[in-house]
Amino acid sequence: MNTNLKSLNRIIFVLSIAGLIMGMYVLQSFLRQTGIVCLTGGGCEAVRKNALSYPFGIPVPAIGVAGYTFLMVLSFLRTFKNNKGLLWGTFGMALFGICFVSWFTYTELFLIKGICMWCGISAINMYIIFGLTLKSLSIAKKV
Amino acid sequence: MKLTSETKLFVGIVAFTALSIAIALVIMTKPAKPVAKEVLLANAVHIIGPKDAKVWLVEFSDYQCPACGQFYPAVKQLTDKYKDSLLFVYRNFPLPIHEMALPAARAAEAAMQQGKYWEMHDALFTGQRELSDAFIASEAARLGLRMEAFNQDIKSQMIQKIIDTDVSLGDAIGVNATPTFYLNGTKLNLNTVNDLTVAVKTALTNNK
Repeated sequence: MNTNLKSLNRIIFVLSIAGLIMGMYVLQSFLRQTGIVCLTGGGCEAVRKNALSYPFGIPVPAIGVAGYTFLMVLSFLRTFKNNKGLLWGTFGMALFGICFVSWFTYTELFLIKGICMWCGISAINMYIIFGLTLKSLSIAKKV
Repeated sequence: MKLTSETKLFVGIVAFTALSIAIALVIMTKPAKPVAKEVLLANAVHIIGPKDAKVWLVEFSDYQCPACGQFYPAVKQLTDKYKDSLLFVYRNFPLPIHEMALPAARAAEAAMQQGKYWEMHDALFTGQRELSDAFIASEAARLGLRMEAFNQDIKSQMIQKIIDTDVSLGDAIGVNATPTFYLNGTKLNLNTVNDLTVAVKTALTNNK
């Protein structure tokens, strides 16, 4: 793999793990029904206790955990398989990710009217991953 | 499958992360010990219901916290319906990030000096979205409070001490979010507002 692509892949991998850890932390609070550290006042609790945080009965952080796991696996596979299909898979997942976090950020701000800081950080994280994936695709096109 | 050095690096990162998460989980899943009644009720001033009730509910709350506002109607319903069998204690826990939380708590305490605590408490939660100094003043006037005394009390050290006592207790027992409910000393882990109602009703049924 091209050096730049390798570097970008490492960053995507680390950010995916960071997203996964955050997702698991928030998910455990949803499942165990416990509070979490929250610097946005009661926002995290308000989000956790709102029915909109369970689309189709699935806790939102569970979707985040699944998404970040997928991204992590894809970037791991790219370490020994320089396959454009894997990169496109990463792009697809990141694209779904930014659509999902955008929808949920809207839901928090305008429907739940509470902000969960972890969701906010995850949204930024996902946008960064998406940006890095786009960059990777543009480099891969030239190689 | 040939493991490249890059692959080994990634495996190492995953292994380290998994180990860290495992350790964190072990630490975080230790069940919380119930808090003794005399601790949770120490110096409590906002009490509804019989002190010898077999079921007692303590809420640490913030007047500007959206989740607290969501729980308010359920708490009110429970305290109204079970006023003879449920002991309810309200404890202030204004979060620093909420600008109007402390002024609202002080307003409620000031209203208490004129015997209108619960009326002001209800007004603050009902009008949570409009919380402001002007709103507090208008509610105080609407409740017929003596405004000069109210405005004096709202700034008093005695009132601040009541709030500080509640906050210190919350900090001591590990309250880190609002609302936090303790039912018969056990911290409740609530998913939805209805979970609180179910928990209290179950406790009342089991303690008849």
